Amino acid sequence: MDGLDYLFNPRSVAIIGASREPRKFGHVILSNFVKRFRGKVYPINPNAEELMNLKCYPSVLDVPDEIDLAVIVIPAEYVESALLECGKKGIKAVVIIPGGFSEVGEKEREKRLTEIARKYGMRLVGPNCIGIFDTYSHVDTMFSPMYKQDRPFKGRISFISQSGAYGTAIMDKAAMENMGISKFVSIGNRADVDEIEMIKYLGNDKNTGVIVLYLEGTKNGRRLFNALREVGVKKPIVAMKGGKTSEGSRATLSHTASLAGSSEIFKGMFRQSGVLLAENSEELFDFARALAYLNLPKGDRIQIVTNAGGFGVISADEIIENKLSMAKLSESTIDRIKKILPSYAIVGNPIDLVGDADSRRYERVLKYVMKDKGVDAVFVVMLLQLSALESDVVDVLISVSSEFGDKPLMVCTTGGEFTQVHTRMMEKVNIPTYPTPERGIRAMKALVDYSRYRGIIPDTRE
Amino acid sequence: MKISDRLAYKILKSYGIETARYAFVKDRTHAKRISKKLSFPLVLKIDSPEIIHKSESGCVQVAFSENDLDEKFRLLVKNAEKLTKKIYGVILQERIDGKEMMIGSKVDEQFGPVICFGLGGIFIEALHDVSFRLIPLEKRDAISMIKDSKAYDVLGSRGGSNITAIVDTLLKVSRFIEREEIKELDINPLMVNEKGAFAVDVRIIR
Repeated sequence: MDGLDYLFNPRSVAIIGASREPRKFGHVILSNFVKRFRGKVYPINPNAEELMNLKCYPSVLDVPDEIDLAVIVIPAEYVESALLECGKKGIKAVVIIPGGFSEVGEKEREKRLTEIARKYGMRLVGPNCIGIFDTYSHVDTMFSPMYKQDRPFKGRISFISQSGAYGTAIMDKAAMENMGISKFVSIGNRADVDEIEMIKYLGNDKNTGVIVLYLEGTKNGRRLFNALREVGVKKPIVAMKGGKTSEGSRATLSHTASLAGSSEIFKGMFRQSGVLLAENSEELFDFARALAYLNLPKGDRIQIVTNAGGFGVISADEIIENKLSMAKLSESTIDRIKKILPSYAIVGNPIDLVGDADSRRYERVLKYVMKDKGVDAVFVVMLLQLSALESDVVDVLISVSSEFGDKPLMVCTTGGEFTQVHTRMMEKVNIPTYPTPERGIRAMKALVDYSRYRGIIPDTRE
Repeated sequence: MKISDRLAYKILKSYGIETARYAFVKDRTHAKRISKKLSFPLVLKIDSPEIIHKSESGCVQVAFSENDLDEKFRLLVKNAEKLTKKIYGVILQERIDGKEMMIGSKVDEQFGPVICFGLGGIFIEALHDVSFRLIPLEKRDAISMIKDSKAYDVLGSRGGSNITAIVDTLLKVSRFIEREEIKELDINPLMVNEKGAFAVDVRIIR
């Protein structure tokens, strides 16, 4: 196993600073492992005999068995000696949660951690981080209790974040929205493992289909660029750069103790390495979902199918605005569709199924549209407020999506609680669903851009 | 330190980067003689390492005829001498019409040498329309960086041949920066017209 494998797939874990105090991080983390992790768990605390029905040890050196991963959850001033013990014990990987290192000017203290890790050949994540969350192995060092922060289920999106809190909030939201996650890594101060190594690792991870990156700066721009280029031809990478304004950059200095690079150069470097650049945190995961769930389109011709005229118009505007193309249906497709639609429906692009469309009408039309060779991707708008459209439209979308899986299909549906229930249902079966045409078409554009980068859509520019 | 304009143009030419036709002269008689080989109107520019912003300080003049040349030359040198004693000479340059673009390069702390392209001339300050890439540049990078900039819309539908010329220039600048030890480079404006892309003003900091 690679050193980083022990972070994600350890056979045994020690929690240094495990606590019986429910509000303490050491308590939450221990309870995460006790609840879901299938390997062995060793609480480490010199002042306890037993925690959560597990025997507690004063030090890792007292544990009789081998330990793959240690999670350190004690104040900064005690971390060095605990890490030294981990080294002596032969532990392979360590997550150091507490802050109090280079981000507050304690550079020497942090440097000593790196030295110890190198000396004993341990891999280190942190300090000053949330650590690791893996839906497959159930390694979970997130210290927000589950009743406050839910955990997402298994999926193909992996998220590397320079900000821990931001990642925590995203995981909570992902859980609510049914967005599947593979791994979340909060890299913290990067005393050892940095974003570059993590990108390469996830590039080879079979459970990761899309890599999402939130970065404020990097310590080695060229190596980052090379890693992105290397991994970007294997799987899509979506990135957002924090610290865009000079004001923001100043804020990052004290944040994760790293220099924020100039935004324009970062942007250009991302473009050059095929990374999809998100302008905000919504886009970051809007793009990731489309890329994780759908096949890449073979062209940029988009067909809109809607039950609301206005949303069809807005979607068409967005297609033009984002420099995608409006698909043109073949004569035979148009004839077939006209036969099954009422005379007042409009067949073109958009196809307006009109307000009395039921799920059966969607189904029959979508089947013809998905078969049309002039269509590269389909954008389905459905307003669930209209009385004719019942919940079974979700079944229709599932069956059409799976029957014509090669051709990307995404959904836009705007509305309140009822709509959101259906959005979550579709998300769960990997149909990317967006609350506005603007967000949906931007995600479509990301899909087309990546397809072009990979050469699936020939680049005819110049 | 800024290298002399005379040398800067020479370096560009040696990398195959096209420039407006020009000559370097030491004095007025020299200027008069050489102007016969160039076509008016001519742009006169002071070549001095001390004067960075030439046009603001009257260190760029336009001569419309041979008679005009003498007077504008005197004025140019007078303005320059107010600022510095260190004057290498004067560049006489044919005026070129076209769309003003710019190409620049600098060494970034995190990424090393980078190159940028965007709208040039007076638009630089107002629009901040530049796209960056890391050096070395590949052809597809050059094309995409032009597309990322508003310059692409300015070049318009007849932009095809112009874009080929800009791509070519970007690739040559990239090669130049790779080989030479240059801290900063400004080609501004890069004048783009139906004949190609021409460096009209250049600043190289070593």
